[in-house]
Amino acid sequence: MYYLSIGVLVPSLLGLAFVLPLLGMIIKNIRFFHAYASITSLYALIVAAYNFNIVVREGPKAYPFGGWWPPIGISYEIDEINSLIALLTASVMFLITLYSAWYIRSLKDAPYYYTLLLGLEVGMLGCIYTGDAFNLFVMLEVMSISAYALVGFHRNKPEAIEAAIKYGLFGAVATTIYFIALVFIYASFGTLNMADLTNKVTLFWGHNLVSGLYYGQIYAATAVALALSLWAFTFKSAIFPNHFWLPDAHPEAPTPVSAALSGLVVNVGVYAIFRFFYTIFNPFSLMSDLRDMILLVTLILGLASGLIGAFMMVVQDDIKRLLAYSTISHIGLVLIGLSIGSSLISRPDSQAFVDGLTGAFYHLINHSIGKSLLFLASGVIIYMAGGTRKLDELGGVARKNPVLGIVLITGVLQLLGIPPFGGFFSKYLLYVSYLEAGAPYISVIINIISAVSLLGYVRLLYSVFFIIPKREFVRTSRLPLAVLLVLSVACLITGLLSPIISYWLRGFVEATTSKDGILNYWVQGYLVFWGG
Amino acid sequence: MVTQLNLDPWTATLFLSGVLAFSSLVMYLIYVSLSRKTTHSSSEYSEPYIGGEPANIIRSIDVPARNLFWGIVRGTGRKLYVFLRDQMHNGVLNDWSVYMVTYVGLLALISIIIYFTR
Repeated sequence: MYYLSIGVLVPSLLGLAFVLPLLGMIIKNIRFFHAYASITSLYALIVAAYNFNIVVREGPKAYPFGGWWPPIGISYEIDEINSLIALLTASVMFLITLYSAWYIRSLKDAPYYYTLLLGLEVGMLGCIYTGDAFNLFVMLEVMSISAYALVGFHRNKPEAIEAAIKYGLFGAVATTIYFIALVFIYASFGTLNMADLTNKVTLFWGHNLVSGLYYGQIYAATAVALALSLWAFTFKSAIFPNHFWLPDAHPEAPTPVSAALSGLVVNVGVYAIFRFFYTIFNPFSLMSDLRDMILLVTLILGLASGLIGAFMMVVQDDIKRLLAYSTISHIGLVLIGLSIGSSLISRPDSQAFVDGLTGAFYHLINHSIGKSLLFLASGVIIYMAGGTRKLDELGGVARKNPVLGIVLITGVLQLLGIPPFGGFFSKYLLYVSYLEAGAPYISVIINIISAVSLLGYVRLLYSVFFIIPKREFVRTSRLPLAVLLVLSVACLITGLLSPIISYWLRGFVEATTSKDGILNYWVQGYLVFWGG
Repeated sequence: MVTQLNLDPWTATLFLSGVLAFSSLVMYLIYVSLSRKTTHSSSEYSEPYIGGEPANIIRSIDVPARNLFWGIVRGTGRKLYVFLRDQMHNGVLNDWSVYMVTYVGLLALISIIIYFTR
């Protein structure tokens, strides 16, 4: 039995997004588009929550498109991890869409803006749900093209156009490199279905007749494919040295888009790394030594990203640029947690392995909520300060609006990792996992990253909160503040419910990365359709 | 008699956060209740004492906190920031490409080494 909700979400959302420009030719009332986008986004949230519920109740499930069973047709497969990330994405995107109603209240291009914003959501959900490595490429393109256009949305600003061109040029290179990786995989394994690839790499059931045997030098081809895939995924998640585009692109985008790019889009690259190096090329696979080496590389890159992002935060004079560098630093921390699966660091069934991955996903959630909150708050700050993004010109703006001040401090404490907010508990798990793995120097570097980034956050708080205002600021409406309050409460909940959240995440990590979990991914994504 | 509290790290952190928040609230209430409602000022009060020197020898009466901040950042990390900001994050695509191509080259090299040493 397969659930329609798994397959229907992405195509239906795509249809709902691309009908908007047509409606824009008939309907001129901008309120219609605000309502349309909000309802569509709410629909995505409800279906994502339903899919998450399916996985929690029944375990991984797949949906074959057009009745073509995998590996012949494209299939979507959800398990505990990707359904959770999809739920997180849909939730934050819903709040971002609500906020957009305030941000673009007088913009004539509302239908195009919402088309691109919903297109971005479609791309993200498609990347997360897909069980097909080629469909991941297609969905990466859907997401990226929406993102390029959104970065250059303010087309009268030369900086925005320059940032969009830079992002687009390197983004196209990244997706092409991933495509070349797929050529190597398909030429060697004769399949691109993730569940089928998992079996062929792990040999649960020997060779199967549907997707054929192996071709050529699979070891050499896999080595090249993994290296190229990692390059593309680290570009999408803005990991050093593939991070250069982010500090230009994220600040120039409209503020709700900056929140989506920094809070959610980078997660897609992280998720792809997880899916490739923990499910397909898993620790029990025939070529586990390759993934062990690659995960060692990701550890070094994660440490470099964390440090460089934190150091660069300190010297920024632009509030959005400061937050963009903070994203590089935090995704670096997530990658450090994700790298613990290398057998050179920890064993697959060890406490350190589970703690590291739990910490990585916990931090991913905390960062998404905290960073979206801070970016959306920065939009209100910039509006109240008359359009300036320079920290020195914000002169205590948060003092004029206590609610804004509270949400700003909440977001900063969440990302800084101060108890009782969620960021503390996820950083604590990352710290402890490397102590358990016998690599205390990594734990020390995690602390150094947090300490250096403190300087940047203090500068942000000082500029908008601790300076006594000497000028008049524009008043803002209640809608953006309501969205910010919801995200602030979410920051607090992720901390106060940390025992429950970490318990659940630990269960999810064990369910998806254990040998039985990986076998189940193949069984549910492949074998059940062939009568297994 | 010594009472021992056996708390797991999560509960202990939440407990300590609560204690900190409560203590801060109590201190704030004490501060508000004891602080003067009115202030006294004189002409002497507004003039800074700067070791007998006239006030015009310094630019501003007080040193802003951000000057201290920048002083520390510039003093401790000038060389690091010259490299990070002016050479690495200079916004020039050609310079970015050097790092990005080096990275893909490094990955390819690692793949080749693993293949031939397995």
